[in-house]
Amino acid sequence: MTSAGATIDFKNVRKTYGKFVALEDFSMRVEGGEFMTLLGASGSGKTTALNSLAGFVDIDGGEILIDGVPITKLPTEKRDIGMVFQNYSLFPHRSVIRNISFPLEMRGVARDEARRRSFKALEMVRLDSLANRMPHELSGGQKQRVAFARAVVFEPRVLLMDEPLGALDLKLRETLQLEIKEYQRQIGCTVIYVTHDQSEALTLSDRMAVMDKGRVLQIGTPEQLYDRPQSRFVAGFVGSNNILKVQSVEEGFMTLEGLGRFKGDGRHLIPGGFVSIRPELITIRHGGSGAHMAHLSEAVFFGNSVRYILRAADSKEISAIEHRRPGQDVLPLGTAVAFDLDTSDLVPLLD
Amino acid sequence: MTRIVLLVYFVLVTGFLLLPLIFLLPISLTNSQFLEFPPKSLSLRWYREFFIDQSWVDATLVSLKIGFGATAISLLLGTLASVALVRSNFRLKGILTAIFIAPLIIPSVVIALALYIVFLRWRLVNNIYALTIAHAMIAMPYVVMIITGSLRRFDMTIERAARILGATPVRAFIHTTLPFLTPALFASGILAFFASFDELIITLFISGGLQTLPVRIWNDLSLKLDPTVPAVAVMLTLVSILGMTVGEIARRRNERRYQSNPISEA
Ligand SMILES: Nc1ncnc2c1ncn2[C@@H]1O[C@H](COP(=O)(O)OP(=O)(O)OP(=O)(O)O)[C@@H](O)[C@H]1O
Ligand SMILES: [Mg+2]
Repeated sequence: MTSAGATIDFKNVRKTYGKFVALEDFSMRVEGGEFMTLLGASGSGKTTALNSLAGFVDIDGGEILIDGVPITKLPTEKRDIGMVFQNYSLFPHRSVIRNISFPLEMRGVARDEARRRSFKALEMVRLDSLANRMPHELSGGQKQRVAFARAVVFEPRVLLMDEPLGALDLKLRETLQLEIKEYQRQIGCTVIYVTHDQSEALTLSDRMAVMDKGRVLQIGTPEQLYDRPQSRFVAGFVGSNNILKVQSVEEGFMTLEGLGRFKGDGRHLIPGGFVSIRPELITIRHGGSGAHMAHLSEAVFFGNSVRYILRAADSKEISAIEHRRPGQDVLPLGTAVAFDLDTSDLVPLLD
Repeated sequence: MTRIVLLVYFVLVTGFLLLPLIFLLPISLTNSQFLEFPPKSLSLRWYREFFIDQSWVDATLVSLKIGFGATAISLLLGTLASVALVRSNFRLKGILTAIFIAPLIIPSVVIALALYIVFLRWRLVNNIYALTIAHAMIAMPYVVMIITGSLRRFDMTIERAARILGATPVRAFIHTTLPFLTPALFASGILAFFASFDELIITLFISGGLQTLPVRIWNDLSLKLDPTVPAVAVMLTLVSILGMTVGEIARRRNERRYQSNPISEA
């Protein structure tokens, strides 16, 4: 069950609903076999992008190409794309195995051959013992696995997944994330995966695209998006970075609005521009004193780490994540702490 | 206290609804020539009479033919109309919906008269096919009301899933929406069938010499009245109860299958 993935090109795609613009100048190239994730807040146009590739919506402008061939004139069923939906969308009247053989049936594959291939797909998702169950007799995770097997049984070169794990609990989601990644490696198809969960996107993707208001803001590897966000939106969306404003840059010093002067090189920064810094790169010293003092205004316990919100002298807030050794107490709210940051960790943002 | 009041109320209402039946059954089982209550001696004589009398059997066959024909036509056209009414958006949608429901609201006599005038002009009186089509029109509102209601609750992403997995629009409909609609089709089919099977007024106007079962009963009433009529009534009731039961079983089975699918408007 291998199919070399196809390349997908969105070229300046535009989609409007009446006056509302759902996709605007949406461009993205996905390489063959790549796992691409669309990440964005609710209403940012992720589903619309997938649906226009699947042919469920007609686009108003631009072009979509699979392997360089324009497909926007092709009806949905001729696009040869696999798809997994958020609410599974299994056929309630068909048993598990007949759900999976449906795409083969539609393609005129002989009955025995279809059965054999469906069983193979079912074995891949390790549900071969449930072949004759009806969908309403399955758990959420099992349904999702069946939906996945059904989407790949005909060896499509493109697989679309629209928040396939959205309805499942966290634990199951993490298990299935690993499985999906593993199956995709086996199959080799190109995947476009939609989620609004940034950690899911970081875990799964070869590359990811952050969307807002129907546009792609930034495309890159998870490391690139995590380490070097280009805009305030991306910095805030991927990994909840601190976004700070540079007040002034002097020789060997720089001033961040609301936080004070920091020693270090700031030549890569522009006064008046915004910078981002990851919470785990803010260091705190308990009980000590230093150049930068703040009060703890909030603490969130994660087990292996604690996220603190620090309130600096003139009420500017900044979040810091501290790794935690066993037995180490979470500091009480209101505690005065000293904090510092390394100015070379500041990432300049373009807007 | 309220429980007792409710119970009494329930018994009274059900009793009122069942009263005609409670009388009909014993009357139909009489051994006498006449309608009598309570019967002096019991027999199945009048049931036998029904099957022996060729005119009763013929009338039943005519009614069955027209009933099945009208059901088939109204199911087919009614379902197609429902799909259009629910899934597409056009300007005259409201008016069209009203037209499909109208035969239920307009008094039968008015429809009967209108059809009579038209059928007379087109020489369609005394024509079983024309009568079937007229019955299909009477049956259509039941189909359209039930099927549109059911279609609105259908999760379109299931049909989309079929499309992306390789089904043409028609095949996707057949493999996903149609199974979902089966119980609704069944229920509306039963209603449509009985709408036709029971129909008297319109049939009287346009049937000419054609005798359907209700027309035969009607004719019997105006000539002589023997206990065959209550026997026919009891048999009709049993057949309807059977149809309703099968329909309800189909509906429950379907409900179980769809219950875990969140209904979403797509
Ligand atoms: N059929 C429609 N008619 C009108 N507006 C629509 C329609 N479908 C989507 N929209 C609008 O287009 C925008 C993008 O919708 P889309 O479903 O692509 O968002 P999304 O990124 O998938 O969001 P979510 O994470 O909530 O699924 C939304 O603001 C939505 O309201
Ligand atoms: Mg969506």
